[in-house]
Amino acid sequence: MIKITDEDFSIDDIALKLRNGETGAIVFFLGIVKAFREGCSVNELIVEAYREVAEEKLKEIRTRALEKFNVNNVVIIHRVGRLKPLENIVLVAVSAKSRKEAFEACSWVIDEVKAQAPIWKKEITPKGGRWVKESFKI
Amino acid sequence: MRIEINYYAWFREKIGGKELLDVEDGLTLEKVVEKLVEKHECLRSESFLVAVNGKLANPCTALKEGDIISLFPPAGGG
Repeated sequence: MIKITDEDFSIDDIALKLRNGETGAIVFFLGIVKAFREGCSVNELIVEAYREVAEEKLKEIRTRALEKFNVNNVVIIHRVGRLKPLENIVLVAVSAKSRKEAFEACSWVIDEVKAQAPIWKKEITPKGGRWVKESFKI
Repeated sequence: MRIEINYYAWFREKIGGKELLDVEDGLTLEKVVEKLVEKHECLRSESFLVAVNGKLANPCTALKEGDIISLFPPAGGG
C-alpha cells in the first residue's frame, strides 16, 4: 500500500493490517515535523507533492523493496498540506519474518523516498518561509 | 498549438503557477524546455524534471495541442 494524503494516519491501523501468521517483526519509520531547525523555530511545515509522479515513484520503491528484501509487506504513506510541529509527515512500515530484514528494508525505503519522490517541504518560521533542500547520498 | 506549463515548489514562487505557451505544431519537449529556460532565468541554475500529462517524459516526445507540461525540482527530501 502506498498513499499520498491530506489526512493524518494511524500507526495502530497500519500495524493491524500488517499482522499475520507469517510476520514476526514490523518496523516503522515515522517522520514528524520539527519544532526547531537550524537555530530557528518552525511554526508550520507546508508539504507539497507533484502527486501523479510521486505516487508512481512510491509504487516503484515499494515494488523494488519487495524484490530486494525478504519481507512480507511494505507500506508508505506521505502527508501533504499544512502541518504543525510534531505532526506526522511520513510513515514507512515493513513487515517480515525477522527483524533484520525489516530494519534494513525500512531504512532503504525511507532513503529512496527522500531521494526520489517529488515531494517538497517549506518551513514557515517567524522570519519567513524557507524551502528545505536536503542532499542525499545513498 | 497551445500548451500549458505548470510549475511546482520554488519554481512556482519564482515563475508563477502556470503559463500558456503558443508553439509550433509537433515541437519536441526538449525544444519547449529550451524556450522555457531561455525565458526564465531561474531555470538556468537549477536542475529540474519534466513530465507531460502527469508522466515523466522523454525529451524527444512530440507535443500536441492541450498537453500539460510540468516542471519541478527533483526530490526535496520527503
